[in-house]
Amino acid sequence: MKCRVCGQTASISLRSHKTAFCDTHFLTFFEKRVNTTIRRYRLIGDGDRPVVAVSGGKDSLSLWVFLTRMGITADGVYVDLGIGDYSRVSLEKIKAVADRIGRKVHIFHVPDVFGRGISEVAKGLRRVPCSACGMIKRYVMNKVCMDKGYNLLLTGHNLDDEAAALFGNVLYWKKEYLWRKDIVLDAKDGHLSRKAKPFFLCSEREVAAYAVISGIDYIYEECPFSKGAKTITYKGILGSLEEVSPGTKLMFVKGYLKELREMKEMRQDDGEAAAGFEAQFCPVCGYPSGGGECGFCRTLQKFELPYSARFEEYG
Amino acid sequence: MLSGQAADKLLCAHQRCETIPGFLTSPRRCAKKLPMYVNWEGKDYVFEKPMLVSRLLQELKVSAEGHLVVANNRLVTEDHRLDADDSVKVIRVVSGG
Repeated sequence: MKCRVCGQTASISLRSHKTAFCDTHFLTFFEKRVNTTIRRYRLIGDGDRPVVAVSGGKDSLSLWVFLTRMGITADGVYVDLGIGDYSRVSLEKIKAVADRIGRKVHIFHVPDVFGRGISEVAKGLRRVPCSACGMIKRYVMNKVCMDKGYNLLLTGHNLDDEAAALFGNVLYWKKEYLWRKDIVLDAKDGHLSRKAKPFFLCSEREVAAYAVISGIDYIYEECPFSKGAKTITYKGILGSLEEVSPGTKLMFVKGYLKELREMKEMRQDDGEAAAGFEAQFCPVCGYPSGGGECGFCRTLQKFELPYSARFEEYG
Repeated sequence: MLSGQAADKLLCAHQRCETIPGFLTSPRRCAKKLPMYVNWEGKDYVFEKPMLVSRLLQELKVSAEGHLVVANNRLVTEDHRLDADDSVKVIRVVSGG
Protein backbone atom coordinates (compact mmCIF):
# COMPACT_ATOMS: atom_id res chain seq x y z
CA MET A 1 0.00 0.00 0.00
CA LYS A 2 1.31 3.44 -0.93
CA CYS A 3 0.95 6.82 0.69
CA ARG A 4 -1.69 8.85 -1.15
CA VAL A 5 0.48 11.96 -1.01
CA CYS A 6 4.06 10.89 -1.69
CA GLY A 7 3.78 7.33 -3.01
CA GLN A 8 6.16 5.93 -0.37
CA THR A 9 5.24 2.78 1.56
CA ALA A 10 2.19 3.56 3.69
CA SER A 11 2.23 2.97 7.42
CA ILE A 12 -1.51 3.20 7.97
CA SER A 13 -4.58 2.61 5.86
CA LEU A 14 -7.78 4.46 6.72
CA ARG A 15 -10.68 2.56 5.21
CA SER A 16 -13.28 5.07 6.38
CA HIS A 17 -11.45 7.75 4.36
CA LYS A 18 -10.51 5.33 1.54
CA THR A 19 -6.87 6.32 1.79
CA ALA A 20 -3.44 5.43 3.19
CA PHE A 21 -0.53 7.51 4.46
CA CYS A 22 3.12 7.29 5.39
CA ASP A 23 4.14 8.50 8.86
CA THR A 24 4.78 12.10 7.85
CA HIS A 25 1.63 12.55 5.82
CA PHE A 26 -0.53 10.79 8.37
CA LEU A 27 0.60 13.33 10.99
CA THR A 28 -0.24 16.15 8.57
CA PHE A 29 -3.64 14.62 7.77
CA PHE A 30 -4.50 14.03 11.42
CA GLU A 31 -3.42 17.47 12.63
CA LYS A 32 -5.28 19.18 9.79
CA ARG A 33 -8.48 17.31 10.64
CA VAL A 34 -8.28 18.19 14.34
CA ASN A 35 -7.52 21.82 13.52
CA THR A 36 -10.56 21.89 11.23
CA THR A 37 -12.72 20.48 14.05
CA ILE A 38 -11.35 23.10 16.46
CA ARG A 39 -12.13 25.92 14.02
CA ARG A 40 -15.51 24.65 12.81
CA TYR A 41 -16.90 24.11 16.30
CA ARG A 42 -14.94 27.03 17.86
CA LEU A 43 -13.44 24.78 20.51
CA ILE A 44 -10.42 26.92 21.42
CA GLY A 45 -10.34 30.71 21.14
CA ASP A 46 -7.37 33.06 21.06
CA GLY A 47 -7.79 34.23 24.65
CA ASP A 48 -8.45 30.80 26.12
CA ARG A 49 -6.29 29.27 28.84
CA PRO A 50 -6.90 25.53 28.47
CA VAL A 51 -5.98 22.62 30.71
CA VAL A 52 -5.90 19.02 29.47
CA ALA A 53 -7.38 16.18 31.50
CA VAL A 54 -4.64 13.55 31.28
CA SER A 55 -4.89 9.90 32.28
CA GLY A 56 -1.69 8.43 30.88
CA GLY A 57 -3.56 6.81 27.99
CA LYS A 58 -3.08 7.43 24.27
CA ASP A 59 -5.94 9.89 23.82
CA SER A 60 -5.13 12.42 26.49
CA LEU A 61 -1.37 12.31 25.99
CA SER A 62 -1.78 12.62 22.22
CA LEU A 63 -4.03 15.62 22.72
CA TRP A 64 -1.47 17.24 25.01
CA VAL A 65 1.34 16.70 22.51
CA PHE A 66 -0.87 17.80 19.60
CA LEU A 67 -1.73 21.10 21.32
CA THR A 68 1.93 21.79 22.03
CA ARG A 69 2.78 21.12 18.36
CA MET A 70 0.09 23.56 17.32
CA GLY A 71 1.54 26.22 19.61
CA ILE A 72 -1.32 26.03 22.10
CA THR A 73 0.10 26.04 25.60
CA ALA A 74 -1.88 23.87 27.99
CA ASP A 75 -1.09 22.42 31.39
CA GLY A 76 -2.40 19.03 32.50
CA VAL A 77 -4.52 17.75 35.34
CA TYR A 78 -4.36 14.15 36.57
CA VAL A 79 -6.45 12.33 39.15
CA ASP A 80 -4.41 9.67 40.92
CA LEU A 81 -7.06 7.11 41.87
CA GLY A 82 -4.74 5.01 43.99
CA ILE A 83 -5.09 1.86 41.85
CA GLY A 84 -1.70 0.33 42.66
CA ASP A 85 0.73 -0.09 39.76
CA TYR A 86 -1.82 1.14 37.21
CA SER A 87 -1.94 4.61 38.78
CA ARG A 88 1.80 4.65 39.43
CA VAL A 89 2.73 3.78 35.83
CA SER A 90 0.13 6.22 34.45
CA LEU A 91 1.65 9.05 36.46
CA GLU A 92 5.16 8.13 35.30
CA LYS A 93 4.04 8.34 31.65
CA ILE A 94 2.33 11.68 32.27
CA LYS A 95 5.41 13.13 33.95
CA ALA A 96 7.57 11.96 31.04
CA VAL A 97 5.32 13.79 28.56
CA ALA A 98 5.15 16.88 30.81
CA ASP A 99 8.97 16.95 30.80
CA ARG A 100 9.05 16.46 27.02
CA ILE A 101 6.69 19.33 26.24
CA GLY A 102 7.77 21.51 29.16
CA ARG A 103 4.36 21.88 30.77
CA LYS A 104 3.04 21.65 34.30
CA VAL A 105 0.66 18.97 35.59
CA HIS A 106 -1.68 19.36 38.56
CA ILE A 107 -2.07 16.08 40.41
CA PHE A 108 -4.97 15.24 42.69
CA HIS A 109 -4.20 12.22 44.90
CA VAL A 110 -7.39 10.42 45.92
CA PRO A 111 -5.57 8.43 48.66
CA ASP A 112 -4.21 11.65 50.21
CA VAL A 113 -7.60 13.36 50.35
CA PHE A 114 -9.83 10.37 51.13
CA GLY A 115 -7.31 8.27 53.02
CA ARG A 116 -8.00 5.33 50.69
CA GLY A 117 -7.98 4.38 47.01
CA ILE A 118 -10.98 4.63 44.67
CA SER A 119 -11.97 1.01 45.20
CA GLU A 120 -12.37 1.57 48.97
CA VAL A 121 -14.06 4.93 48.41
CA ALA A 122 -16.58 3.19 46.13
CA LYS A 123 -17.16 0.42 48.68
CA GLY A 124 -17.87 3.03 51.34
CA LEU A 125 -20.40 4.69 49.05
CA ARG A 126 -21.85 1.33 47.98
CA ARG A 127 -21.24 2.28 44.37
CA VAL A 128 -19.22 0.66 41.62
CA PRO A 129 -15.67 2.09 41.26
CA CYS A 130 -16.46 3.66 37.83
CA SER A 131 -19.34 5.65 39.31
CA ALA A 132 -17.24 7.01 42.21
CA CYS A 133 -14.32 7.65 39.83
CA GLY A 134 -16.54 9.63 37.43
CA MET A 135 -17.98 11.74 40.23
CA ILE A 136 -14.55 12.60 41.68
CA LYS A 137 -12.96 13.23 38.27
CA ARG A 138 -15.75 15.60 37.15
CA TYR A 139 -15.40 17.51 40.39
CA VAL A 140 -11.61 17.69 40.39
CA MET A 141 -11.33 18.64 36.70
CA ASN A 142 -13.77 21.48 37.25
CA LYS A 143 -12.08 22.49 40.51
CA VAL A 144 -8.68 22.89 38.91
CA CYS A 145 -10.20 25.19 36.29
CA MET A 146 -11.95 27.34 38.90
CA ASP A 147 -9.02 27.49 41.34
CA LYS A 148 -6.10 27.82 38.91
CA GLY A 149 -7.68 30.20 36.41
CA TYR A 150 -8.15 27.88 33.41
CA ASN A 151 -11.27 28.70 31.42
CA LEU A 152 -11.36 25.60 29.24
CA LEU A 153 -11.07 21.89 30.05
CA LEU A 154 -9.97 19.73 27.12
CA THR A 155 -10.50 15.98 27.14
CA GLY A 156 -9.23 13.27 24.80
CA HIS A 157 -12.63 11.70 24.04
CA ASN A 158 -12.53 10.25 20.55
CA LEU A 159 -15.04 9.15 17.91
CA ASP A 160 -15.25 5.61 19.29
CA ASP A 161 -15.93 6.86 22.84
CA GLU A 162 -18.71 9.10 21.59
CA ALA A 163 -20.18 6.52 19.23
CA ALA A 164 -20.24 3.89 22.01
CA ALA A 165 -21.87 6.27 24.50
CA LEU A 166 -24.41 7.35 21.90
CA PHE A 167 -25.11 3.73 20.98
CA GLY A 168 -25.73 2.88 24.65
CA ASN A 169 -28.03 5.86 25.13
CA VAL A 170 -30.02 5.01 22.01
CA LEU A 171 -30.15 1.31 22.84
CA TYR A 172 -31.77 1.97 26.21
CA TRP A 173 -33.43 5.27 25.14
CA LYS A 174 -31.79 7.20 27.95
CA LYS A 175 -33.36 10.48 26.93
CA GLU A 176 -31.98 12.27 30.00
CA TYR A 177 -28.42 11.67 28.67
CA LEU A 178 -29.03 11.37 24.94
CA TRP A 179 -29.03 15.05 24.02
CA ARG A 180 -26.49 16.15 26.61
CA LYS A 181 -23.45 14.95 24.66
CA ASP A 182 -21.74 17.56 22.59
CA ILE A 183 -18.35 18.41 21.18
CA VAL A 184 -18.29 21.53 23.37
CA LEU A 185 -20.15 22.21 26.62
CA ASP A 186 -20.50 25.83 27.66
CA ALA A 187 -19.50 27.24 31.04
CA LYS A 188 -22.36 27.72 33.48
CA ASP A 189 -23.04 30.27 36.17
CA GLY A 190 -19.36 30.88 36.89
CA HIS A 191 -19.23 27.48 38.59
CA LEU A 192 -18.78 25.05 35.73
CA SER A 193 -15.91 25.44 33.28
CA ARG A 194 -16.26 25.18 29.53
CA LYS A 195 -15.36 21.74 28.16
CA ALA A 196 -14.30 20.66 24.68
CA LYS A 197 -13.28 17.45 22.91
CA PRO A 198 -10.94 18.18 19.98
CA PHE A 199 -10.63 14.46 19.00
CA PHE A 200 -14.42 14.05 18.80
CA LEU A 201 -14.31 13.12 15.11
CA CYS A 202 -11.05 11.12 15.15
CA SER A 203 -11.28 7.37 15.53
CA GLU A 204 -9.50 5.56 18.33
CA ARG A 205 -7.32 3.85 15.70
CA GLU A 206 -6.23 7.20 14.27
CA VAL A 207 -5.39 8.56 17.72
CA ALA A 208 -3.42 5.41 18.59
CA ALA A 209 -1.50 5.71 15.30
CA TYR A 210 -0.78 9.36 16.06
CA ALA A 211 0.59 8.35 19.48
CA VAL A 212 2.78 5.57 18.03
CA ILE A 213 4.17 7.70 15.19
CA SER A 214 4.77 10.65 17.54
CA GLY A 215 6.71 8.38 19.91
CA ILE A 216 4.34 8.97 22.81
CA ASP A 217 4.90 6.41 25.52
CA TYR A 218 1.40 5.78 26.90
CA ILE A 219 0.01 3.14 29.21
CA TYR A 220 -1.26 0.14 27.23
CA GLU A 221 -2.90 -1.56 30.18
CA GLU A 222 -6.54 -0.96 30.84
CA CYS A 223 -7.89 0.24 34.16
CA PRO A 224 -8.46 -3.01 36.12
CA PHE A 225 -12.01 -1.89 36.93
CA SER A 226 -12.96 -1.51 33.26
CA LYS A 227 -13.18 -5.29 32.73
CA GLY A 228 -16.62 -6.24 31.47
CA ALA A 229 -17.64 -2.61 30.93
CA LYS A 230 -20.55 -2.20 28.53
CA THR A 231 -18.69 0.56 26.66
CA ILE A 232 -16.08 -1.94 25.51
CA THR A 233 -18.80 -4.32 24.29
CA TYR A 234 -20.45 -1.47 22.38
CA LYS A 235 -17.12 -0.53 20.85
CA GLY A 236 -16.69 -4.14 19.70
CA ILE A 237 -20.13 -4.14 18.05
CA LEU A 238 -19.48 -0.80 16.35
CA GLY A 239 -16.03 -2.04 15.31
CA SER A 240 -17.65 -5.04 13.58
CA LEU A 241 -20.01 -2.69 11.75
CA GLU A 242 -17.07 -0.53 10.75
CA GLU A 243 -15.26 -3.57 9.30
CA VAL A 244 -18.24 -4.35 7.07
CA SER A 245 -19.10 -0.76 6.27
CA PRO A 246 -16.20 1.68 6.80
CA GLY A 247 -17.25 5.16 7.91
CA THR A 248 -20.31 3.99 9.89
CA LYS A 249 -19.08 5.41 13.21
CA LEU A 250 -18.30 8.77 11.68
CA MET A 251 -21.72 8.95 10.02
CA PHE A 252 -23.41 7.95 13.28
CA VAL A 253 -21.70 10.66 15.36
CA LYS A 254 -21.83 13.36 12.69
CA GLY A 255 -25.53 12.62 12.19
CA TYR A 256 -26.06 13.03 15.92
CA LEU A 257 -24.25 16.39 15.93
CA LYS A 258 -26.42 17.60 13.05
CA GLU A 259 -29.61 16.55 14.81
CA LEU A 260 -28.38 18.14 18.05
CA ARG A 261 -27.70 21.48 16.33
CA GLU A 262 -31.13 21.47 14.71
CA MET A 263 -32.79 20.63 18.00
CA LYS A 264 -30.92 23.37 19.86
CA GLU A 265 -31.91 25.92 17.24
CA MET A 266 -35.52 24.83 17.50
CA ARG A 267 -35.44 25.14 21.27
CA GLN A 268 -33.93 28.61 21.06
CA ASP A 269 -36.67 29.62 18.64
CA ASP A 270 -39.26 28.30 21.07
CA GLY A 271 -37.53 30.07 24.00
CA GLU A 272 -37.27 26.77 25.92
CA ALA A 273 -33.57 26.89 26.63
CA ALA A 274 -33.72 29.29 29.57
CA ALA A 275 -36.87 27.91 31.09
CA GLY A 276 -37.32 25.24 33.72
CA PHE A 277 -33.84 25.05 35.23
CA GLU A 278 -32.74 26.77 38.40
CA ALA A 279 -29.14 26.19 39.39
CA GLN A 280 -28.44 24.98 42.93
CA PHE A 281 -25.04 24.97 44.58
CA CYS A 282 -23.30 22.98 47.28
CA PRO A 283 -23.30 25.00 50.55
CA VAL A 284 -19.80 23.67 51.40
CA CYS A 285 -17.83 24.25 48.20
CA GLY A 286 -20.14 26.09 45.81
CA TYR A 287 -20.11 23.33 43.15
CA PRO A 288 -23.39 22.88 41.28
CA SER A 289 -25.52 20.19 42.86
CA GLY A 290 -29.00 18.77 42.56
CA GLY A 291 -29.77 20.25 45.97
CA GLY A 292 -27.80 20.15 49.25
CA GLU A 293 -24.16 19.05 49.29
CA CYS A 294 -22.50 17.89 46.09
CA GLY A 295 -21.34 14.27 45.66
CA PHE A 296 -17.72 15.13 46.48
CA CYS A 297 -18.57 16.85 49.77
CA ARG A 298 -21.03 14.13 50.71
CA THR A 299 -18.29 11.56 50.16
CA LEU A 300 -15.89 13.44 52.44
CA GLN A 301 -18.62 13.69 55.08
CA LYS A 302 -19.32 9.98 54.75
CA PHE A 303 -15.71 9.27 55.75
CA GLU A 304 -15.81 12.06 58.39
CA LEU A 305 -13.10 14.02 56.61
CA PRO A 306 -12.78 17.81 56.41
CA TYR A 307 -13.22 19.51 53.03
CA SER A 308 -10.02 19.37 51.00
CA ALA A 309 -9.23 19.56 47.28
CA ARG A 310 -5.49 20.16 47.18
CA PHE A 311 -3.27 19.58 44.17
CA GLU A 312 0.37 18.59 43.85
CA GLU A 313 2.16 20.44 41.06
CA TYR A 314 4.74 18.80 38.85
CA GLY A 315 6.89 20.58 36.32
CA MET B 1 21.74 -20.97 10.61
CA LEU B 2 21.43 -20.33 14.32
CA SER B 3 24.39 -20.41 16.68
CA GLY B 4 24.03 -22.41 19.87
CA GLN B 5 23.56 -19.28 21.90
CA ALA B 6 20.89 -17.88 19.62
CA ALA B 7 19.11 -21.21 19.57
CA ASP B 8 19.09 -21.35 23.37
CA LYS B 9 17.73 -17.86 23.45
CA LEU B 10 14.91 -18.79 21.10
CA LEU B 11 14.23 -21.94 23.05
CA CYS B 12 13.86 -19.97 26.28
CA ALA B 13 11.63 -17.39 24.73
CA HIS B 14 9.45 -20.06 23.20
CA GLN B 15 8.91 -21.84 26.48
CA ARG B 16 7.15 -18.71 27.75
CA CYS B 17 4.78 -18.71 24.81
CA GLU B 18 1.23 -19.87 24.83
CA THR B 19 0.34 -22.79 22.60
CA ILE B 20 -2.61 -22.02 20.34
CA PRO B 21 -3.43 -23.40 16.88
CA GLY B 22 -1.01 -22.22 14.23
CA PHE B 23 1.76 -21.65 16.76
CA LEU B 24 4.88 -23.71 17.33
CA THR B 25 4.38 -26.35 19.94
CA SER B 26 7.80 -27.96 20.19
CA PRO B 27 10.79 -26.07 21.55
CA ARG B 28 12.99 -28.31 19.39
CA ARG B 29 11.25 -27.16 16.19
CA CYS B 30 11.40 -23.64 17.46
CA ALA B 31 15.19 -23.85 17.71
CA LYS B 32 15.60 -25.43 14.29
CA LYS B 33 13.53 -23.01 12.27
CA LEU B 34 13.88 -19.30 12.68
CA PRO B 35 10.38 -18.29 13.66
CA MET B 36 8.73 -14.91 13.86
CA TYR B 37 8.28 -13.27 17.23
CA VAL B 38 5.11 -11.37 17.98
CA ASN B 39 4.35 -9.46 21.14
CA TRP B 40 0.67 -9.16 21.82
CA GLU B 41 -1.02 -8.04 25.05
CA GLY B 42 2.29 -8.26 26.89
CA LYS B 43 3.00 -11.89 25.89
CA ASP B 44 5.44 -13.25 23.33
CA TYR B 45 4.13 -15.55 20.61
CA VAL B 46 6.15 -17.44 18.03
CA PHE B 47 4.92 -18.26 14.54
CA GLU B 48 6.42 -20.94 12.32
CA LYS B 49 7.02 -18.65 9.41
CA PRO B 50 6.82 -15.03 8.34
CA MET B 51 3.51 -13.86 6.94
CA LEU B 52 1.43 -10.89 5.87
CA VAL B 53 0.12 -8.59 8.58
CA SER B 54 -3.47 -9.40 7.54
CA ARG B 55 -2.72 -13.12 8.00
CA LEU B 56 -1.15 -12.47 11.40
CA LEU B 57 -4.28 -10.64 12.56
CA GLN B 58 -6.40 -13.54 11.30
CA GLU B 59 -4.22 -16.03 13.19
CA LEU B 60 -4.60 -14.01 16.36
CA LYS B 61 -8.34 -13.73 15.65
CA VAL B 62 -8.35 -9.98 16.10
CA SER B 63 -9.86 -7.25 13.93
CA ALA B 64 -7.77 -5.00 11.73
CA GLU B 65 -9.95 -2.04 12.73
CA GLY B 66 -9.24 -2.52 16.42
CA HIS B 67 -5.50 -3.16 16.18
CA LEU B 68 -2.28 -1.64 14.91
CA VAL B 69 0.81 -3.62 13.99
CA VAL B 70 4.28 -2.25 14.64
CA ALA B 71 7.27 -3.96 13.00
CA ASN B 72 10.72 -2.78 14.03
CA ASN B 73 9.21 0.31 15.67
CA ARG B 74 7.32 1.33 12.51
CA LEU B 75 3.61 1.10 11.85
CA VAL B 76 2.80 -1.26 8.99
CA THR B 77 -0.32 -1.81 6.87
CA GLU B 78 -2.18 -5.07 6.37
CA ASP B 79 -0.45 -5.88 3.08
CA HIS B 80 3.03 -5.65 4.65
CA ARG B 81 5.03 -8.91 4.68
CA LEU B 82 6.67 -9.53 8.05
CA ASP B 83 10.15 -11.06 8.06
CA ALA B 84 11.52 -13.69 10.42
CA ASP B 85 13.85 -11.33 12.21
CA ASP B 86 11.29 -8.53 12.57
CA SER B 87 10.39 -7.39 16.02
CA VAL B 88 6.58 -7.33 15.81
CA LYS B 89 4.11 -5.86 18.24
CA VAL B 90 0.32 -5.93 17.95
CA ILE B 91 -1.36 -3.02 19.70
CA ARG B 92 -5.00 -3.09 20.72
CA VAL B 93 -6.44 0.37 20.18
CA VAL B 94 -9.76 -0.03 21.95
CA SER B 95 -9.81 1.32 25.47
CA GLY B 96 -12.27 2.64 27.97
CA GLY B 97 -14.69 1.56 30.58
